[in-house]
Formats: sequence, C-alpha cells, structure tokens
Amino acid sequence: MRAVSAPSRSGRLGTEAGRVLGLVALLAVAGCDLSSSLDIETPPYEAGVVARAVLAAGQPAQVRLSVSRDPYAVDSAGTGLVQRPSRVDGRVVLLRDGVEVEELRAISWTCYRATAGGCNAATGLVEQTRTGPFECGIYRGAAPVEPGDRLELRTELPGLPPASARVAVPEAPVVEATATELPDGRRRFAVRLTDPPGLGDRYGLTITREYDRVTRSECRVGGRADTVVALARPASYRSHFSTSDPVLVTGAREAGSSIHFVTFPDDAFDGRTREFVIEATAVGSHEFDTGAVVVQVTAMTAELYDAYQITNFELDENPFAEPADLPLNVEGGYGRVGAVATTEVRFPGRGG
Amino acid sequence: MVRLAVGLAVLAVAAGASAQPVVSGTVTDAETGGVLIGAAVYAPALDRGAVTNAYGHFSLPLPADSVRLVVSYVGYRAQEVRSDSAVDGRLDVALRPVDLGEVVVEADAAGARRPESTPQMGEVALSGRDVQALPAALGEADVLKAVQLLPGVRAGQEGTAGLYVRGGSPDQTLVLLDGTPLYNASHLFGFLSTFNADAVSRVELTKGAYPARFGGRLASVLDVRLRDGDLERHRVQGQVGLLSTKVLAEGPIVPGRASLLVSGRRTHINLLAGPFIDRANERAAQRDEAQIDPSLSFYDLNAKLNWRPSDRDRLYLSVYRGGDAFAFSALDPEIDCVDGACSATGVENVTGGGLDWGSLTGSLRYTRALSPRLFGALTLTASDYGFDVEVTSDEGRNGPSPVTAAARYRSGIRDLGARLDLDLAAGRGHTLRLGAALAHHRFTPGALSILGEDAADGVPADTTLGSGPTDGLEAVVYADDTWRLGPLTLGLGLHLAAYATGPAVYPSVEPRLAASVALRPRLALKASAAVTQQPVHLLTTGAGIGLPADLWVPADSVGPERGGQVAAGLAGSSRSGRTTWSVEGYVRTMDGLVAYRDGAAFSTPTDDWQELVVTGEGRSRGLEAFVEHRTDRLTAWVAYTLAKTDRRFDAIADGAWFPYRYDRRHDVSAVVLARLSRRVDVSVAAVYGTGDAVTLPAATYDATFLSSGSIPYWTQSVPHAASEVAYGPRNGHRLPAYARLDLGVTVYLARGPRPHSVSLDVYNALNRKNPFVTLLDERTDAETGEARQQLVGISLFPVLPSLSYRFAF
Repeated sequence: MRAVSAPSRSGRLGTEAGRVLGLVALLAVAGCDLSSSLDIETPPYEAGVVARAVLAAGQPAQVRLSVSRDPYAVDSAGTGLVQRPSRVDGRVVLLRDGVEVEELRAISWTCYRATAGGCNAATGLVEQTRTGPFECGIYRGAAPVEPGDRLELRTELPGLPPASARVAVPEAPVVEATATELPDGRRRFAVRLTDPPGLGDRYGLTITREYDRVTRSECRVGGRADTVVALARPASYRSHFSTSDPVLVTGAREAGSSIHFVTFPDDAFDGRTREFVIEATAVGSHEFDTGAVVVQVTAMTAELYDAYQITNFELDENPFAEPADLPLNVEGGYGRVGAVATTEVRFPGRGG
Repeated sequence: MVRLAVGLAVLAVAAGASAQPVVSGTVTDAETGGVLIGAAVYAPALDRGAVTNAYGHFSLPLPADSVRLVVSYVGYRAQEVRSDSAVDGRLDVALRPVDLGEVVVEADAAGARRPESTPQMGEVALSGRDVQALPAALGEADVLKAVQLLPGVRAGQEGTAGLYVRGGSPDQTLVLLDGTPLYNASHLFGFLSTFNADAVSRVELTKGAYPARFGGRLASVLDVRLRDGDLERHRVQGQVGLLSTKVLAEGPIVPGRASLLVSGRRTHINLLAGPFIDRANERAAQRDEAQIDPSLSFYDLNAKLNWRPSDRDRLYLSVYRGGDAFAFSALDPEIDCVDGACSATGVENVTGGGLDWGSLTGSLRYTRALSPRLFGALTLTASDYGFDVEVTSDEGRNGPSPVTAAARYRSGIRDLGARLDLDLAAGRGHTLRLGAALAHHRFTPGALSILGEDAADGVPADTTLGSGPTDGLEAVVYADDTWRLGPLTLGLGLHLAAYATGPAVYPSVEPRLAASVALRPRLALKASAAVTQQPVHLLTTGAGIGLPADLWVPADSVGPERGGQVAAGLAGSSRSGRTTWSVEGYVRTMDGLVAYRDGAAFSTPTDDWQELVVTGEGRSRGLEAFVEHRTDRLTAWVAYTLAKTDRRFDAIADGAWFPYRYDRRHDVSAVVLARLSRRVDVSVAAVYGTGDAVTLPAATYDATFLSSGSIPYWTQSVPHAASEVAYGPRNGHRLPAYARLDLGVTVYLARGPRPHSVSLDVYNALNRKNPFVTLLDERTDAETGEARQQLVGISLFPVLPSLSYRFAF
C-alpha cells in the first residue's frame, strides 16, 4: 500500500495558466492553412499498346491498335462513346496453336472530329465540311477464324513494348428452336440449347427482326424529301422479348420485362440440354418489319462475359459502387481481345 | 429451451455440490448503489481472486478459515474485508469513489485484475470515466472513438466510428448494448457512435478467442454496459456542446431498491447551420439559381430500470432508441433568355430525398444469486434496425409536361432473442459459465421501389425490386471453464451453434481455448485459439465510409463466414499493479467473406442481393503491444500494432491476394488523462498509422462498347470506343500516413458528485490533413496550357477547437 498526498495549491493557478497558454500556442503553431485538400503523389505512368477486338467465328479477324493514355491526363477526344484514333503503323500477327497463320493487313481510314453542313436546298447537293481528321484504321485478316481455334495475336507499335493476347474461339452453340403462335398474336419460341460438358461456358441470347424497305431522306432542290427504298435483301435490327425463365430473368440487366440481350453461364445446366421459353410480339417496331424473327444464341469468351457483367452492374455516377476493374487479357499492354460464335435460327414472317 | 436451461442448471448445481465453501456477493458503488463490473475481489494470502461479472456479482471458493479479502476498483477506495464476515456465504461490498487529496489504497490488491492472472487474451476495458476524459471531437465524448485508441483496433475513414479489429471488417465485431446486439452504432454518417457516454458504465473489448458465451462474429466482442441508475439520490447531469445537447436524469423510485435512469441526446446542427443555409438560398433566389436546403439531425434515448426486489434478485429493463435523418431538397427554376434578358419562367425542377436510419433495442433481464456459488441471468432481447433512402424528382413543375419520379430503398434487420447464463464457482479451481440462447432474425436485405408518372404521356410506373424478408433462427449452447492448476490457468470453452434459414442449416462447433502459465511473479506466458462462425454479413459500400447504406444480409445460400485465430504472448504488471503490459502475436483466417462484385452496389436494381456479391477469404496477422499505467490521478497508455491483412476473391483482381483497404502496417496510439489539480484535468491522445490502401488507375484505354449488348456491334470493330480505366494492383497504393493529436482541458467550477465544468477540446491540433476521400482535381499548367488531373485527398476535419459545458445538480 502507498499513500498519495494532495498537491499543494500554491502556484497552481500560474501552472494551469501556463498550460492553457501552451495549448493556445500550439494552436497558433498549427498555422492558418485551413484548406482541406492535399495533393497525393501518384505512380508514374507507362504507355502501352492497346489491342481491341471481338473475333467472330466464321469471319476474318479484325483488330484495332491504339496507345494507352495517362489516366491523369485530360482526354482531348472527350468522354463517353466517341470515335477514337487507332494506328496502322505497326504489325499484327495471328498465330494458331503457336504457329503463325497470317499477318493482318493494315487498312488506313480517316475519321473526323466534327462534321458540319447539310443539304443545300438551292443546289440540291449535300455540302459538308469535316474537320479534325485523325487516323482510325484497322488490321484485318484474310482467312476466317474457326470455332475451337486457339489463337494468339501478337502486336507491335513503334516505340512501345510488344503485346500479345490469347483467345480460344468458342464452339458455336448447338441450338434448336420452335415457334408457336399464341391466341393474342404473340409468338412463343422454345429455344433448346445443348451445353457441352464442363463448366465455364457462357452465352448470350437475343432476337433480331428483319425489314425489307427503308425511308431515306434525300437532298433535292427545295430541300430534303423522304423516299421509300426497297432493299435488295432484308436487313436486321435488334428487338426484344419477354420471359419468365429464371436463368434468363437472373441474367437480365434491363429494367422492366423487355429484354434485348441477356447473358448467362452454364452453371445450372452444364452438359445438358436446356429449353428456354421466350415470347415476342408478332411484329417489331420497325415501320417495314417483315415479321421474320431470328433467334441468336452466342457463345462468348470469359473476359467478354465478365466485362459485360461488370459494365452493366455499374450505374453512372453511382457513388456507392466499387470502381469497375474490367478484365484485361493483353499481356505487355492493355485492352481486351474476346471471341464469339453465334448460332441463328430464323423464323420467317409474311411471305417467307 | 426451458428443458435445456433446467438441464444446465441441474448440471451446474451438481457440479458445485462437492466443492469447497464459497463467498459470493455484489460489489457496488457506495454512493449510487450501481454495480461495479470488473471489480477485483482478491485474497492475497492465497493469491486467489475473482472479478465481478456484468452484474457486479462474484463467487470465490475459499477455505473455511477466515481470509483477508481486498476488494478494489480503479477510481474507488479499496476495502478490506474478512471472509468470515459473510452471512450465509454472502458478502456484499460497497466501494466509495476516491476524492482528490485522500489517502487511498493503491491497486496492488487488484491481483485478480492483472492481465497475467487470467488466461483471457486481447481483453481491454475502459470505464465511462475514461471515455468522458478523452479529448472529444466537437465536444462529443465517444465510446467507439475511445476504443479505436486500443491496440489491434483501427478506425475506418477519418473521423468515423467504425471498428476494424485485427484486420476484420466492422461486422466482425459483436456490439452489445446491455447484452442486446446493435447492428448500426453510428450517428451522423458514422462520425459519432450511438452510445451516449454519460450513460455508459463500462466498455469491454475482447479480441480473438473471446469467451464461449459470446458468438456469431468472427473477430471480437464490444460489450457496452449502461449505468444502473442511482439507487440513493436523484441527480440530473448534462452537457451543452457544439454538436448536441444531452441530459441524463437518474434516481431512486424506491430508495435502495429501484432506480430509473433516462438519458437523451439531440443534435442542434440545424440550428447552427440554418442561418448560413438560409442566407445562401436568399442569394441564390436573387440570382435565379438553384436553392438547396439540406438538413441533418440525430437523437438517442436510453432508459434503464433497475429493480432489486431482494438482495439476491435483480430485474433490469433497458431500452434504446436512436435515429438519424438526413434530408435535402433542391429547387432549380427554369430561366428563359430573350435578347440577353433572362427571367424565370415559373417552371421549376425540384429534386429531393432523404436518408433515415435508426435502431430500437430493448432487453429485459432477471438475475438471481441462486446459491453462493451459482448465479443466473435470464435475458430477453429485441432489436430493430432500419435504413430507408428516398430520392424524388419533380421535373417541370408548374409547366405543361411535368414528370414525377421517386425511388425508395429500404432494408433492415429485426431480432428477437432469449438467453440463459449461469456462473458457477465450482471449486477445485473451476469457474464455470454455462448457457443457452435462441434468436430469431428477420432480414429485409433491401427493396427498391420505383414510382413515377409522365403527365404528358399519362404513363405511370410502379415497380418494386428486391426479395422479401428472410428469416433465420440461431440456437446456441455454450460452456466455459476457467480452471486454475497452480501456475497454469486454462480457459476451456465450447460454443455450439446452429443457424437455420429456409432449407439451409449451418451448424458450427466452436472451441475456445486459452492458457496462461506464470513464468515468475507478475509475468505470464499466454496462448489462445478459437474457431468462430458468423451467420450474418455486412455488405459495405465501395466508398467504405461507414454509411448506413452498408447492408446487413443473412448467410442464406452464400453461407456464413468462418474464422480461426491463434494468439500467443506475454503479459505482466508492475509490483504495485499500477502498470500493466502485454505483447500478443496473432494469426487469423477468415472464409466466406462477402463483397460486392466490381461495379455493383446496394442501389443496383436487382431482385436478389446475392447476385451482386462474391465470396472470398481473408488472412490477418499481427503483433500488438500495450502498456497502461493507472493511478487515481493519471491514466496513460501506449498501444502499438504491427499488422498485415489481405483478402482474396475469385471474381476480383483475378483471384489474387490483395491488401485489405484498412490494412495498416503500423499503428500507434498514446493517451494521457491527468488530473492536474482539484480544478483542472487535461487529456492528450495521439495517433499515427500507415496510410490507407487504395487502388489507383494505371492507364486509360479504348475498348469495345459492350453495353450496347449487340453482338454485331461488338464484332464490327467500329471506330467508336469506350474509354476504360485499367487499374493498378488492387489496394496497391498507400495514402499519406495518418496522424492526429487531440488535446483537451477541463476546468471544474465544482467537482464532487455534482460537478460543473467547462471543457476546451482541440481535435487534430496539428491541423494534419488526413484524407477522408480522394478526388481528381483538374488543373491547367500555366506554361504549357496542358490540363491534368491531380489526385487530391480531401480532409474532413482541420484543427477543430470546441467548447462544452457540463453540469449536474
């Protein structure tokens, strides 16, 4: 046990005053900088080749090369979906199973930042002025890529490290589909998809419709006039469907009951045939819709599927979301090279 | 449940029947009658002791001879009693608070409280007085911010009250208010905790292998106990500060038998900010600019009824209600300009919204000293937490085509529970704790309602997304034995739990082991291990700023979190007992952790929150050192933590391990609370820690615009492209180190039982800019004209002096 005695009161006031003054002095030392921001050092930026491609089974490879940008530099091209420059002063080689197949041909194109002008009613001619030209060329192969191909794209641009991307083109989905007309005129499609054994297959489902004429606006003396033009062969446009299938409902990222495009994995039906029932209106929204409907099922590579999932979870300016870190598969550079294989089943409309 | 409880009681009584005599009783405050939790009852001659439980009760097996007992509690005058003064084995002791200048018995008697005397590791306690004495931000003493100054605990964002214990997220700490779980313990978007420090008696944090009577969380338990209320005198105390005013009233209903404590707190930020906002809006109105009217408020109420029908029985009723409301409205008039002359058209665009969250909890507890060696507590608890956010839009009001829209998001969790706890001094070195609990959880993980009408088209919209409530049932049985075998003390615990939700049942067997070996007097080697399961998850927002939008979700199909932890260390104390210290190393594993997918958040429209999440694992290891010195005039501690904590999710960062956002390699905190004189107290708190881990962009690049959802568009290779950001390593960059110095001076106009005082607190006295959030700030180089974005950290709190006045009568 120990005794603790009370301190003397003499001189206490001076001591306390001194301490309080010390506190005030400390506050003064803290300075007058009451701004709330602090510059933070960021890691150095290193530029790299950007490869951008979605290879489609049955079509030649098309690849765009560009250069990455400093994330802290203000992008002069603007934000959002805009035309971006691409370069054709490099080299792109396609390899299949490690063996060089072909060097893709550089095709030079010119794009423009802005286009002004329009129809001159006096002359009946379209007068346009285009400004801000920039290179937006492409590399294109000669031979189509095939389902099941294991491909590698090796890319080079002057002054940058070489970069490469590997991608396996999916097999085209095995699909059967039938259509029945409902009493209300709508059409119900039973789409049977046979999934190969092994998890990891990823699909997209959409329907397109066809139209056989278009209204074109032509410039004439006196101003523009609309003309209906018959097409040599029907063109297609994306449409929508509805469904109560749980796999599709879960995979859909669109508000409401109309679905334009849905992606889904084979988790629930790996190695089996799964029937999806979807319904669509008799005709689509196009003025010259023929009534023909094409059901498209697309097998896609993982990075495409994942990137689509993430970009469609991300809401604009959502302050609560984690930053979307999209999958990349270009080694030594940036970008994403994916592949798809699509199977279509067409249901004719009026007049076949 | 009843059969189980009876069975446990029979087991307990049977186990104790053959043991040696026991002295038991309650240790109380002599002035208020309130029980003292954690008071030491120590027999120096036998080097044996006990510590009072959460109800102030102790049981201590002793030989039949008369033994000298020292009963002590920091801040109170220790008292010596003889064991043979017990009547029928019952020995109640009332301790008197010390006053300055008194000759006091120092704490060398408190052998039972020394860290080397118990096998429990990672246990730190603060009294309500400690919390009150710390420097307070804007004059608000805060329990959770006090706990953040302890080893192994770090705060989240600057100024917020979340607890990140040993690398765990805030949901991994079970927060109990008088035994009732609290799911959100924050006010003002996390800046303050919901605990009114005036009403708090004791705060105890147990990390790691916490006792088997607790469960349901991976990392730790924060047990906050409210004061009982004065059984002898009526008393009112309060505080007027910059942020809030609080009042506490307590007193006897039946002197010595029943008391009631009621405390309330309400902010008056709106009163302070209102004139500034009004003035800004007047100016905006004059210029036909948008007028914004925000409001923010919080309140909390605590009430505790304490009834002692007999010396052996107690009944407690505790109720807590607290809530926050944030609302804003913005009125933007449409302006029409003709020939350079602009005027308001009368058409207005009005947007508004609100964010409300709050909890209502209650507990009814009956305790009884069933025998000198057996103490029982039966507790019924209820807890309801809700979160509600609403955004409304009224575009073109007063115009020809108004469009109204509203979105509302609600989530919440409601619990009902019952538990029985038995403390048994079984003799032969055994102190047993047994019990069982049953809890029903009802989760509403979130429902998003979208309402709207386009008056021009007459198109109404009414959509509700989100799954309905999910029920979960949790059953627990536990047993915990502290077994003293000479120099070796063992803590053996088993927590058996089963969580059922729908068709899924998640059983868990959770052993808790602890051991302490006395290497020499006042020095012990300790080790512990534990397995824990957590059937609830907290989905945190990306910003990680502790918003109430953090979403509680059940295990459901994603399964529970499971964790394991081992720890080892040394603990000791000085001869006087005034200085205690510990060094502990730990390794933790965590499995079944849940996080939002990249790009997803609670507000992402979906019918099922489980679509938005991914599961993964975590690991954490660290070393904690803690030195504490306590006398009646001075409390001081230094805590240092060296830690590393990582996470891994298959669907994030290519499945690689990455640092947890709140991984803090070095964390030091130092606190000094001193009574300089009868009139002046001073306090200092200093914190230094490694900066937060953040993910920064490495480059931007062009990518196929996938959002089109059109395969032909994807494959056409058009010049149009989306600009995407490639990030560097996840959480691979560090923000500047965190540092803060807080100071406080309290001048007492009167001390004693009815003190009046004025406090000057200075938060962040060195005016350190600790980033709360990071933003990009566009700047143009004056020479080159080149525009660049600079990463800037925005600090929330510069040096913040505040005055508060405390009173009591």
